[in-house]
Amino acid sequence: MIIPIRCFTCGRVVGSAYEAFQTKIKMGGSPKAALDELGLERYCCRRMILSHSELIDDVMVYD
Amino acid sequence: MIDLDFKKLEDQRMAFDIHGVSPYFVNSVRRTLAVDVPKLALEDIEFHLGPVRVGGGKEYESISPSFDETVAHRLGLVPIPTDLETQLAMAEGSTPSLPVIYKLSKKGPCVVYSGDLEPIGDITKPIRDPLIPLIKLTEGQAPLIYATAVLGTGRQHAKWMPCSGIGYHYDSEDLDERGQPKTFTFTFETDGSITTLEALRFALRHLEQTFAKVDELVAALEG
Repeated sequence: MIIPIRCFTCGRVVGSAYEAFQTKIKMGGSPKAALDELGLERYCCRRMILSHSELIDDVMVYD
Repeated sequence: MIDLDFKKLEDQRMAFDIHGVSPYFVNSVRRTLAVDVPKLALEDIEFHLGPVRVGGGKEYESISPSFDETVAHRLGLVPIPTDLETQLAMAEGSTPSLPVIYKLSKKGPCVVYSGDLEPIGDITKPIRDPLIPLIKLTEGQAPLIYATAVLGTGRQHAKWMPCSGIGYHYDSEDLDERGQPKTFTFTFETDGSITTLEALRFALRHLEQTFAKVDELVAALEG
């Protein structure tokens, strides 16, 4: 729906990394490099960003 | 003799080698860091209900596309800068208690970030990480929210856990005569509400007090 604020597994704050990640990808960077630059080391935090689907934009129109 | 060897000492990341302790001791430090170190988190969230009028005559409604409980949960997870000493003194009652309150008021359509939380009161500090998306708003929505921070520990809820990624490892080849590891490499991070050094200092003091209670119990048994 909307990016979770913290990693479900370890509790690190990941919400603020999502928009930065999207910008890096749109500029042609690789997801691996982008996640490394954002300091997301553990695979639990990396999947939070990688597997997220921002559906809120589609849903909020009908609110 | 316990010996600490800092390899990384940053506000939000710490790594150190610890020599001459048992695995049980290192694990008790890990568990204390996870569950006994207090921090502030937004707990009492007050949602204004009804229309909000802004200069220019346009009328907004104090709602958002997300459910209020979702918004309250997300607000709770935002790291709140915590002055541990002051907060603990206020919790004990040795200094007068002052509230830590944030106000959230933004007009849609827009994305509301953690940086939009306005500190209210003398001891409230601005949020350190201003780029966490909290809610998305559509046309005509302008939620008015007052959020009060409360001190708590990870025993109550994960939002009061200041440390994450707490762990240690050791070289299984490098053992002492009792077959226990000589050196543990300990790493952990904080969410920015307190520094790693404050967290470690609090955890070790807390352990000291806990072990002092065990000593008293032992004395009571023997006496």
